[in-house]
Amino acid sequence: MSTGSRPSDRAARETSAFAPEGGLTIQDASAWILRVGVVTSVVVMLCGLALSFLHRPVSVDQMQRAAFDGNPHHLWQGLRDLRGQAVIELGIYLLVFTPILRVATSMVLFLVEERDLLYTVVTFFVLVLTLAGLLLLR
Amino acid sequence: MPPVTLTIEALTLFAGAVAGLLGAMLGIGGGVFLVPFLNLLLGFPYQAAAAISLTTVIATSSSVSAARSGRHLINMRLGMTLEVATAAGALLGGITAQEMSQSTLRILFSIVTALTAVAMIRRMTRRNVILDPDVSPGRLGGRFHEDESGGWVTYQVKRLPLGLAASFIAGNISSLLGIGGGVVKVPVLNAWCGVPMRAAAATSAFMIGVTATAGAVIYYGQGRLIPVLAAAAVVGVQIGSWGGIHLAARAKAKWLKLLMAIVLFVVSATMLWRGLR
Repeated sequence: MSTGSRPSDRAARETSAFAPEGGLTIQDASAWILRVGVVTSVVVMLCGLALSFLHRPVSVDQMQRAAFDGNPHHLWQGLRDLRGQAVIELGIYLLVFTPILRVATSMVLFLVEERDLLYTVVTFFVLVLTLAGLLLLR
Repeated sequence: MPPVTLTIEALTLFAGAVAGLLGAMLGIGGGVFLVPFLNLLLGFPYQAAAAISLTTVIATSSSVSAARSGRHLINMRLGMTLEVATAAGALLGGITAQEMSQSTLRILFSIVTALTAVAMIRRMTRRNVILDPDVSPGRLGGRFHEDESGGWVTYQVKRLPLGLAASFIAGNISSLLGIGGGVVKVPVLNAWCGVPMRAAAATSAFMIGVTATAGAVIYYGQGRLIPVLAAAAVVGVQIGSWGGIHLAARAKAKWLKLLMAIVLFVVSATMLWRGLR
């Protein structure tokens, strides 16, 4: 890939993603999103596991058949009843949305902080491809 | 499909912890251990094992790259570029995996596991770095601080189309088989694209979260995931990889790598045998 700009400002632009010089770097933002996302989802899953086994044996019998249910209405209903299965599904949703949120944030930062249109578009494609799988989730 | 009892839950949590520990110590994902455990030992269908494994892969990739991000090893632009290819590959792999027979998937897994073992024995030691700090890394290259030499390392990315092709295949294999897929792209990025081993591994681990997400949601949509088992596996893998990261700093990994390569060959052979039967 070649650009027509002078080497000096090209070098400055290239290092901007690697060297933090004030402002929010994409690396830092990504790291925070990933860290918070994983910790939250693991904690939620642990609560779900605890709830599942508190309600033994009924809930364990249900779980033997229960597959992941993409229906948000069922999920909400289950969360209100504090069913372990629903809490675990919430944790899985949080886990899955962590990388998606990371990509979306990177896209915004490529545009706003780095003013790099090419990478804003590249990141947009990544986001579309990742969400395409979610659409198959019915 | 076997019923999910408390014993199965506990076993999965334990196996996840072992897979996470070994994965973090060896620098490979835990998927190569978790999939055969769920599929061959516990008897869950291959797709159910892959769905659970992919879910743990998302968690591992996220926590590993969050921990590594301070050292500038992750190349954001290169990673994002290659992610287009891995996500496309993962999407395609996830769709085709739903139609494939268990024996085909087992044979494919066997081949990839054998390759992982070979890669582990002969980790490439090419450095392809430019030590002159004034050299421009180019549009996609990078710079990172290397602790051993105490200097800044600069590299340029070569043969991008090859890197994209390897990433597409890695994404495809990842969601077909329920593993991270780093074993496919890291050696290519290192040997042919000019990316130093550490930057290649860190960038690959960073990408894997998105790749696994793109594939995992297809399995979820098809009702392949058993959430309560996935939760146990995720918790186990997190505990294990946390321990592994702390142990890896001290452990002499050479004998461990050799031992695990042998284990992987055994896993590979078992998968092949069960796949052909």
